[in-house]
Amino acid sequence: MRAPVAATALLALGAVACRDPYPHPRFLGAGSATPRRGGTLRFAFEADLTTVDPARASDTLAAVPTRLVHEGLVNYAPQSTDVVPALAERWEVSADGRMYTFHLRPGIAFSDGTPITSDDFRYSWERMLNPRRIPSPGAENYRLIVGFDAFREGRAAHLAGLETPDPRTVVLRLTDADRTFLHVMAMRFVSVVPRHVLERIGDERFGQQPVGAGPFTLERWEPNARIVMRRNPRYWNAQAIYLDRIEVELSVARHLQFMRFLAGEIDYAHNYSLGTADYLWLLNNRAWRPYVVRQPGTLIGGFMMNTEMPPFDNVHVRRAVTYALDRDAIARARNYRIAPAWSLYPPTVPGYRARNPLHQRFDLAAARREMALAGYPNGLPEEVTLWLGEGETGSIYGDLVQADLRRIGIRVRQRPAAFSIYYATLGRRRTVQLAFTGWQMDYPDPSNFIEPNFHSRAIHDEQSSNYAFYSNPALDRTLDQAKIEPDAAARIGLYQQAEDMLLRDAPWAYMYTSLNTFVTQPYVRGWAPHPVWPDYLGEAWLDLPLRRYVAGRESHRRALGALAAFATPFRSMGAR
Amino acid sequence: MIRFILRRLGWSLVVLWLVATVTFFGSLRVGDPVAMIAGPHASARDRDYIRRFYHLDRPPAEQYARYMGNLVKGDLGRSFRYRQPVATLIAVRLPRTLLLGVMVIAFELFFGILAGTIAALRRGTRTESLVLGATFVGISTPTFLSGKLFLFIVAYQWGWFPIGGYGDTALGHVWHGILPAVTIGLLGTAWQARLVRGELVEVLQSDYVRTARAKGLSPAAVVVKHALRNALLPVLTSLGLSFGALFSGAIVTEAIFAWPGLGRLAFEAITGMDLPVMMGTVLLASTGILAGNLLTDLLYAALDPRIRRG
Repeated sequence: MRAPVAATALLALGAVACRDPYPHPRFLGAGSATPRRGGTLRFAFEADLTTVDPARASDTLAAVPTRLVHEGLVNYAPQSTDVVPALAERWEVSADGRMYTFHLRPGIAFSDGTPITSDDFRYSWERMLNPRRIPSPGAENYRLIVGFDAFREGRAAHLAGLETPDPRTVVLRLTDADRTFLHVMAMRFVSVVPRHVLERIGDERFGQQPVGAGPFTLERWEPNARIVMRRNPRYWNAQAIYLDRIEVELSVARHLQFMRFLAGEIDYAHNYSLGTADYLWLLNNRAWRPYVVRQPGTLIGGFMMNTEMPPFDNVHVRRAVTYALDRDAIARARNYRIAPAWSLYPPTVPGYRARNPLHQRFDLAAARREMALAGYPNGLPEEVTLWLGEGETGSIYGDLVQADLRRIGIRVRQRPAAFSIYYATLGRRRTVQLAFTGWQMDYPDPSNFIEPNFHSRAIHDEQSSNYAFYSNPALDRTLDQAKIEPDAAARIGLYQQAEDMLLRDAPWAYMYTSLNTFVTQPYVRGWAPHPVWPDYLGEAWLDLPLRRYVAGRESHRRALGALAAFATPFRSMGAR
Repeated sequence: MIRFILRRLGWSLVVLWLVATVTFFGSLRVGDPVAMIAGPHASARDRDYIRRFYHLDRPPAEQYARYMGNLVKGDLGRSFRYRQPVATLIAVRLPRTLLLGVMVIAFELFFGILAGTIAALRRGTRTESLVLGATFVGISTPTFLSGKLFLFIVAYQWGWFPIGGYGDTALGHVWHGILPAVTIGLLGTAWQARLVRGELVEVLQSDYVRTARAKGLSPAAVVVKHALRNALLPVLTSLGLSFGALFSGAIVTEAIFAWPGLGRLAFEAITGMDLPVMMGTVLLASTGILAGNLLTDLLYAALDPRIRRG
C-alpha cells in the first residue's frame, strides 16, 4: 500500500518539476512605429570581463564594451561590411595605395568633454604599438606603417609613417599598398584614447576606468558581477543612439542566462548562451519563434593536416580525408547549429562561391581511390593522432571524424587538450599530425582567412599560425599580388584562385561554417546581428512601455507568428 | 602552549612553501599562458613581446625566485589578464565568499544540530530513519547536481528565490546567497546531524543526564542545557576541518549560481592560465585550510589538557 503512495507522490513532484513556468514571452512592446529613446537593455556573458582597454581587448566579451565605449576613425555601416566614416568624416587614398589621409569631423570630443585632435590619434596608436608600455595582441596588424619596426624596437621615438599636419588631419604612410588597410583601421585596437586620463591614472587602471569617444560611457563596474554603460551625449552620432543604459552581467553560466531570459530578467540571449536543449526548445516554441534570429556566422571549422609530417605529407592522403568527411551528418549531429562547408570562405565573405567543381565533397569511392593512389589501398599501417580542443563540441567532431576515417582505413586516436596546451602545441613545428581547427574572422575580407593560415610567412618553428605548415610559392605570389591589386573584382578573383590551390592541395579538410542563433525579448527593436559585430546592440531601442503577454489574446497572432518564422532568415536583412 | 602554537605555525609555513612551489612548477608545465593572454589570432611577434613583458621568457628558476621574492614581501604579483594586483582582485571577492561561508556554517549548525537532536531523541522510530535517510542523501549528492536542481526547481520554476546572481544591497546579497549556501551546506548539515545524533545518544545515557532528570528538570532543559552542550564539542571542532570542503564546494557552486566570489576567480584563472591569480587563490585556500586545522588543534588543546602536554 505504501509503495503506490510514494510512487504517486514522486510522480506529482515530477509533474510540478516539469511544469514550464514561462512557455511564452512575459512582456510585449507597446507597438511603436518609430524608435523611442530611453530604457536599459540587459544581457549577460559567461566569462568575466578583464579589460575595456582597446589596445588590449582580445576576447569576445571584452570586444563588446570596448566597441561601445571607444571609437576609431572608421567603422562598419549598419548591417554591412562596408567601411564608413566615424570620427573621420572622409579620407583619401593616394594613387599608389600607400598613403591614407584622414580628415577628422569638426567638434568631436571624448565623453568627458575634452576635444579630440589629430595628436590624440598619434598618442593612442603609439601607446598601442609600444610593447614596453602595454603589449597589444593586435599590434602586428599595423606592420605596414612606415617606421613600424624601428618604433616597436625602441630605435625611434615616434612612428615615422604617422603625420599630423594640422589638428584635424591624420596621414598614414605604408611601406606597401594593402587593400585591406581600411578594415584594419576599423578594428578596435586603433580607437582613440585620452592622453590626459592615461597620464593621470596610468595604463593599467585605464582598463578598468576607461574614457573614450564611443556611443556609451562606463558608469559602473562591479568586478565579476556587472558593468553598466550610459549613453554618451557627446558621441558624434548621438542621435542614432536610443538606449539610456546597457547593463551586462558577468560570469553568468549559460543555463542561468537562458532561465533569466525566459523569466524576463534579461533582454537578449546570444548564440553562446543557448545550450543545445535551450536551442531546440526555442526553435520548437511558437510563441518565441518570431523573435529568434539566425545569422550565417564567420567561423570556418575543419581539420588541418600537417603537410610536413607523414602520412599527411602525401597529398593523396589529404585528399582522401577531404572526401571521407560526411559533413551533413556532422551538421545533423549539432542540430544544424552549423552549416556544412566545402571551401574556405564563409558565405558572408566576399569571394565565397556557392558552386565550384573543385569544392570538397563527401565521396567514399573517391576517397578510396585517393588512398590507393597514395599507396595505401588497405589503409594506413599506423594510427594517426587527432588533437582536439577541450569541450563537448570538440569530442562530438572527434567521434564523427574518427568513424568517417575508419571507413577508408585510417585509424584515429583522439587527443583532447586544454586550450592553453592545444594552441601552444599546434603552432610547434612537426608536432601535431592532425587537429581540429578553425578561424574566426577578424574583418570581412578573404585575405583574413587565407593569409594567417596558409601563407608561408605564417610558418614559424614555434607559434606558427599556419598550423598545417603548408608552403606553396605560387600561393604566396598570388596572395602578395592580391594584396596590392587596386581593382576590387580582380582582387577577389585572385583570392578565388588561391582558394582553388588550397582545394587541390588540401592542407585543410573543411567541415562547417557557424550558424548563429540569437533571441531577443519582443520589445527589443532596431537590432539585427551585425556581420562583423554580432553582439553590438548600441543601436537597438526598447519599445516601452511594456505590455503583459496574455496567452489567450495572443492566440490569433500565432498563425502570423508561424508565418513570420519562415521569414526569420531574412529578418537580418530587413530594415527593422 | 606558546611552544605548541609556534611549532604548529612553523609547520604551516613549511606546508605553504611546499604548496607554492609545487603549484608554481606544476602550472608552468600545463600550457602556454601567452596563448591565453593574447588570443589565438595574435601574431608570433606580438606574442613574443607579451612573453617578454610578463617575464615569461626567463628560465623557470628565475621566475620562481622572482615570485618567491615578491611573495616574502607580501606581493602576490599582478594578474596577466586583468593587469591588476592579485591582492586587489582577491580583496574584492573575498568578502563575497566569506558571506557565503558564514551563511553555510550558520545553515549547517542550525539544521545539523536540529536534525541530529531530533534523531537522537526519537531513537528507533520512523522519524530517526527518515532523518538518517535524509542525511545519507545529503552526504551522497554532489553539489553540481543539487545546485542545479535547486536552481531549476526552487528558483526558476517556483520562483521562490532569485535565479542566480549576487544582488545589489546587503539584504539582497543575503537573499541571493540562500540557495548557494544551502547547496554547499547540504553535505556539512548531513555530516553534523549524524555527528550530533551519535554524540547525543551516548551523552543521554550518561550518569549526569540521569542526575539532571532525577533533579526534576524539564526534558527540554536536560537536553539543551546539559546533554547538547557536551555533545556539541566535536561539532565545533569539526567545523574547523571543513574549510577545505567549503572552498572546493564554492568553486562549483559559485559557477552554478553566478556568485562572483573567489571560486569563480580561481576557476577562471585556471582555465585562462592566469598564473599569478592561480597561485594567489591556491595560497589563500591553503592558508584558510591550515588556519582551520590550527584552530581545531588549539580548541582541542584548550579543552583537553592531554594534547597540550603531548
